[in-house]
Amino acid sequence: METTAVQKLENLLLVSVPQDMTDEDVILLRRQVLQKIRQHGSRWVLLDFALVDICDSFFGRFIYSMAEMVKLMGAKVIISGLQDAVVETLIDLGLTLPHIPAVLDLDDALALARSTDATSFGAMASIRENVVWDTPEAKLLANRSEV
Amino acid sequence: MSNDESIKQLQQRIEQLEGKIANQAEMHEEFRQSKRRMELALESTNTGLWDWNIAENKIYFSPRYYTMLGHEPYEMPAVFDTWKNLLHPDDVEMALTAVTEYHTGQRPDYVVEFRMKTKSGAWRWILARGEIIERDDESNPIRMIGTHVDITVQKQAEAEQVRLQQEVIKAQQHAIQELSTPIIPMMDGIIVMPLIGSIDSLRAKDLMRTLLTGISDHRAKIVILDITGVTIVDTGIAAHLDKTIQAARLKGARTIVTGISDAVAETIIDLGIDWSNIETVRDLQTGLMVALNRLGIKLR
Repeated sequence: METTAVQKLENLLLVSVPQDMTDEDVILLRRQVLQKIRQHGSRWVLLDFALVDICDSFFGRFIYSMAEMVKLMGAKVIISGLQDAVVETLIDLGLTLPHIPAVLDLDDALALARSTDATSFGAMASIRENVVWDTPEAKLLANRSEV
Repeated sequence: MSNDESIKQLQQRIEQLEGKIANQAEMHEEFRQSKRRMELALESTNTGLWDWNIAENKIYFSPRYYTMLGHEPYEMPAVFDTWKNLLHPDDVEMALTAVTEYHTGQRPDYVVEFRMKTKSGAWRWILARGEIIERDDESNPIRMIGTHVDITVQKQAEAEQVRLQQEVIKAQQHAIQELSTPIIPMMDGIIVMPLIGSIDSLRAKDLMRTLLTGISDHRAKIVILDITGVTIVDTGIAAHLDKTIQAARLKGARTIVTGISDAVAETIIDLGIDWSNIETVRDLQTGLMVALNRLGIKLR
């Protein structure tokens, strides 16, 4: 699988999910994503499914596992580009993927990530002004917001 | 007896015989006319005749019976199997059952339609009618006669009519579908989908497709789903609407449901349908205001 599937853009990771992934491909892709999060300190993972025509039974599991792993590393998943046929299948299978923000395409995904960052960075900034950063937890927080 | 009396007797006898001959000639002529009449009737209506001697397994097929199927008269053996072997494979069982059931009294008469093979290998639709005209002492049928009429043209016309009807129905359904699920783009990022009428699972699927296409086409962030025109909301329909809303979300659009009548509100709660996660608003105007607010658009 090509390594260009995962690309860094500012504090985001853009993942173009390919069609027809094998179990191995899924594992490799996840590892790549997690590695890059650690490497770049990304806060967002944008999973774009514009290339995926058919939804198979592993779809839901792939998205959920990615979202959970990414969350443990302090980042959040946004899904975009789901095709109509794939959406219909997901709904038929009862996979509504709640708690995972979904947008129409990459443009909207970027916009969402940036607007959310703006608010949270604002919040982080005011905390920074009012907190004494000398406990280990505080230092961790300070590091995160500087990424 | 005197000579004169004998002669008189003989003369009377001759007169009697002449009378009888004349009578017979008349009867013969009548019979000939009757036979001719029947032949003309059969010919003009293109009817084949069959006369089945059941006991001896011999059948008489009239010339027309043969020519109807492109064969020469009397070309094939005059037996039951000749008929059976000419039947279309899909019709054999049905036709044989008809004969048996008529013989055993399960059917009141013998009237069947089946396909028979012509000499060139084509199929003609035949209407067969028949009647048992002789039975033995135990009431078993021993002679049956009947007719064959070629109804291929009628059958084709029937099929054509059915096909046309189907097309009309399909076209009407398509038109109804198009008319009843339009997408109205309101302004940037807001679309309205007014639902009218009843929603079955087929329509629900179609609805979802239309909505998803509409969201893509107009890059909608908010969908206002107006159900003023949906008179009945039961658990099934509520589930369909739920699925539609979930699908819209996966395409990045949020749904606001408007137009819930008091009757519908009552039904939903009474049926225990959970719409607590669905944003509902009284009417379209309010829905539009909420949508604009969400998108951060202020109207002066």
